[in-house]
Amino acid sequence: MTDSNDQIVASNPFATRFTRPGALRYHFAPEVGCDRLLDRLAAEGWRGAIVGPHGSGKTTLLSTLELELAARGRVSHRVTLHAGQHQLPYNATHRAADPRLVLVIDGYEQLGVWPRWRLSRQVQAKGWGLLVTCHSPLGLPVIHHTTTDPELAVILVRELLGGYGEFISDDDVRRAFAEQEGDMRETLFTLYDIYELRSRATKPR
Amino acid sequence: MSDPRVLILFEGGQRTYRPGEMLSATCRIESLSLFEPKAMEVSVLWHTEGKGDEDLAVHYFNRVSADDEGAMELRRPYQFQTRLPNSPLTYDGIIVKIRWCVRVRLFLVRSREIVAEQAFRLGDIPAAVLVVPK
Repeated sequence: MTDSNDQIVASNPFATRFTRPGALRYHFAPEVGCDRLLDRLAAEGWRGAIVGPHGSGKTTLLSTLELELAARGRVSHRVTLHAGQHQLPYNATHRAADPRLVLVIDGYEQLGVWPRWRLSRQVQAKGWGLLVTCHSPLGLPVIHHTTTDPELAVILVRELLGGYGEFISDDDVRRAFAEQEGDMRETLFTLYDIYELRSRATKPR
Repeated sequence: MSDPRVLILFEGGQRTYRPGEMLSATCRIESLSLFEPKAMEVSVLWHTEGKGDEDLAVHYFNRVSADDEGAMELRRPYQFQTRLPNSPLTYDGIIVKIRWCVRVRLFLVRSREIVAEQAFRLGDIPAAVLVVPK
């Protein structure tokens, strides 16, 4: 069998593995830091919402905050709701009362009005905190609005490329960002395709 | 003080294997004398990579811990071998890839971790060809 390092499958830096929340860190604006957001959440009795459009970094921010919640002695329990999931899974709220627990719900807008009202009562009765992501406030105090801009996209992409930027230029990033109307997730997926196209064009077959 | 460096060396410099072939490799940690290692985990695994959810399976795993008489072992080159399975074969697809690698995770004090990876190929499936409509 032939043996050459050229034949090793190279990673695409825009693959989910590198871009998923947790792998990619959240970039705070200079005036807003993680500590300030958690102070705001604590001041609201550990109840709050991260609000922003699709692909603006809500889940990435959530992942960053969850790590810091642990550092502050809180225990987080994350539930992710997908499109059409209007009820919480059974095990999400069938837990003991615990003043340290913060129930984290990613995709809170999926819940109907009645499940949200019921959840609010359960959380209050059990002394839990509630931190959610959603597209509009939905009755919870907003601790942060996530936004994106083309220069943030350029910074993120430079981080992902880690100095190997031969296939993707800053202009590619700005163009993809504009095409995807500021949705960072879709921008990175667009760049995945461009990277595949250009890296394959230069690879020996 | 720079972090210890993890080197993964395939025997004979081999990087492509046939299904069922034996993979032999050595993991060596450089500058470890300056650090207090707690454990090292060596795995041979495959994972998918692309735009969607990832899949992963571990084919070989071994943990050497400083607790169970392994403190000295951690400072020596760690040699291992494993017979590779028949599938899944390495695949360089466009929307999904299958990558095989040796992964070493070194645990240091104060919850610090260093992860090193070295990819290799299993099988000889040609890479997908991207056809761009004219």
